[in-house]
Amino acid sequence: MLGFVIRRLTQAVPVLLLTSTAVFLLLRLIPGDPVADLAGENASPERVEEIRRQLGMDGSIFAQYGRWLSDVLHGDLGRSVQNGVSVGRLLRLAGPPTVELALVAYPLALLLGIPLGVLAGARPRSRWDWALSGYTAFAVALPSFVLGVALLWLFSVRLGWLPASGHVSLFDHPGEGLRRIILPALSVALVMASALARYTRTALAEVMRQDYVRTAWAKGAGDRRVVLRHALPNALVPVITIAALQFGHLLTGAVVAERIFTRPGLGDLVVRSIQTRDYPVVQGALLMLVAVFVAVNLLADLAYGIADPRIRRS
Amino acid sequence: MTQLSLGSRRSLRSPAPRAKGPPRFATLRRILANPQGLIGAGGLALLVLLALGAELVAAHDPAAQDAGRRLLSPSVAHPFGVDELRRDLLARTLFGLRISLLASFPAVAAGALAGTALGFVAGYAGGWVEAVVMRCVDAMLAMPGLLSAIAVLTVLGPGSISVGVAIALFNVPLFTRLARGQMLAERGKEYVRAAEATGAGPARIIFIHIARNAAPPLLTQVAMSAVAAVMLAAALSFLGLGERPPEPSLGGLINASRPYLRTAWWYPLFPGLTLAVLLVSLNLLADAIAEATGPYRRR
Repeated sequence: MLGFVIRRLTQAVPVLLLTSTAVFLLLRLIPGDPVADLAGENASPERVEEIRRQLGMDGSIFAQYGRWLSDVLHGDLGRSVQNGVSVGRLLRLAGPPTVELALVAYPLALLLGIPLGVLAGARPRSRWDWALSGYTAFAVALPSFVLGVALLWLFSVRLGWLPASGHVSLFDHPGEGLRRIILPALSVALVMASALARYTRTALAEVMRQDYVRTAWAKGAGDRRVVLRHALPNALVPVITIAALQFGHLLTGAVVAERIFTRPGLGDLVVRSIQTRDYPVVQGALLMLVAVFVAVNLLADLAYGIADPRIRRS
Repeated sequence: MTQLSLGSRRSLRSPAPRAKGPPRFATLRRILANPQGLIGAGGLALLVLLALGAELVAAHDPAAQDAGRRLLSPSVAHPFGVDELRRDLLARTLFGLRISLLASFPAVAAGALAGTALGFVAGYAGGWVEAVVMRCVDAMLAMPGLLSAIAVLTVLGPGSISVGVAIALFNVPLFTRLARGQMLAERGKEYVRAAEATGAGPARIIFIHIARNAAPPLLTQVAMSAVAAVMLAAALSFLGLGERPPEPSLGGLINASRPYLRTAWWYPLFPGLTLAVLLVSLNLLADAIAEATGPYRRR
């Protein structure tokens, strides 16, 4: 097992190096001269040089890359071009609300999606299976932002049950924080849950047709025992990968939900920075999101290795 | 969706009925013979016609500011109501549909063509060409679509064209992987050897002989990619990273309606419904294509 862990960890290094190089190259790919654009038409040559230095775009491209990589490894992501605040600080401020959203939305999606998938997959063409088909059709037709706007309209505008916007830390004020996170988390989780349910259903239905399950029925095990103890553990192995891939949807969903419910957060920061061409902030945020994404996939791989011994031996 | 549920059905039990008439349109006829496919194709055709004929259907200019009150509810003169600048929402929804389609469909087509060509060549050539191409594809597929979209928008700046480029780039590796797999499955077959024996060059073999037989799964992926593209384009417009302000788009209209939810419920409703009909139609069509062309024909 240890060998497997080390092997997977070393595989993550080139991926991180490659993607960070891609993030570095982003600024250099921009058509025209982004420095001159940022400085404006009437900027003095000194000002232009200052911005160029600030963006780390002076000197040869190799020198730039070396400096950039060493800065990043030292945790220095540069400063915002718009307000001079360090990118690290901006990310530390924007991170927690997004992490809270993920911490609520992700378990919610798992708790909603997997049981529904199990109910539908245990008995294909049963009432639960039809319910899942209906739900899938619904989730497919509504992109998360349309769903979010609909939730916002129903629960805060029409019924007035929940606040429409803003963020209050879950850890400082659990009650109010929860009230404000329910709708954004639902808008993200409902879409994710439909995909999870679909995959769980397919995986379970597949396992239910295997001989060992028939053997379990034959020796007289009850419904519950056959599905939950015999079939489900094997069916959940592929679901681990899907659950990790859904993390990408979680990021997308969070960006959109932050816009709908005017919450501060990483998505909000990235969107605003693209609009104001605040390149160092976008680069820093991208780098962090990529690192998180790689880490999640790594964890999924490890979980897969634990669940299925064949994988760690290969 | 269909692909997911395939495993659960005893798919190989019944052979697909042979379509009548000339084989040329057999697949198309099979798609339309399926109620899902008929509804999907009909819905899509209707929306495309409405988007093309937006000038004829809508009585108003999408940018014209009418006299009268702001945020009027639906009426005979303005079936979808009026927005905060007194612009006709029917016109804005239809022109928005046009922009949403223009930002997504050509981009999917471009990404599909480039990716397929790359995948065919990689699969046919083999060796280091294939290794290099496939490693790049793996790297691109490892990132969630949103991150690549952010990267593209950072380089090119916000705008409809950037959204299109992001969608195209996102689709290239998907099609490369699929097309290479198809190529590997086809290239050892006898008809390819026969074509080689008649002296056909690699380009002719790849793009005439093999492409025809490798097309079905690629076609299904085109439909599935169109769904994802419409969603991504709408989401980016919603975030304000798509088309520039006076231009309407479905996602942009829903975003613009947010401050007026309290009084004007119809404002986001009609663009949202249009988007939903578009997505449902595309999904039904994707399912029908998968069924009509897949090895596991159900009906």
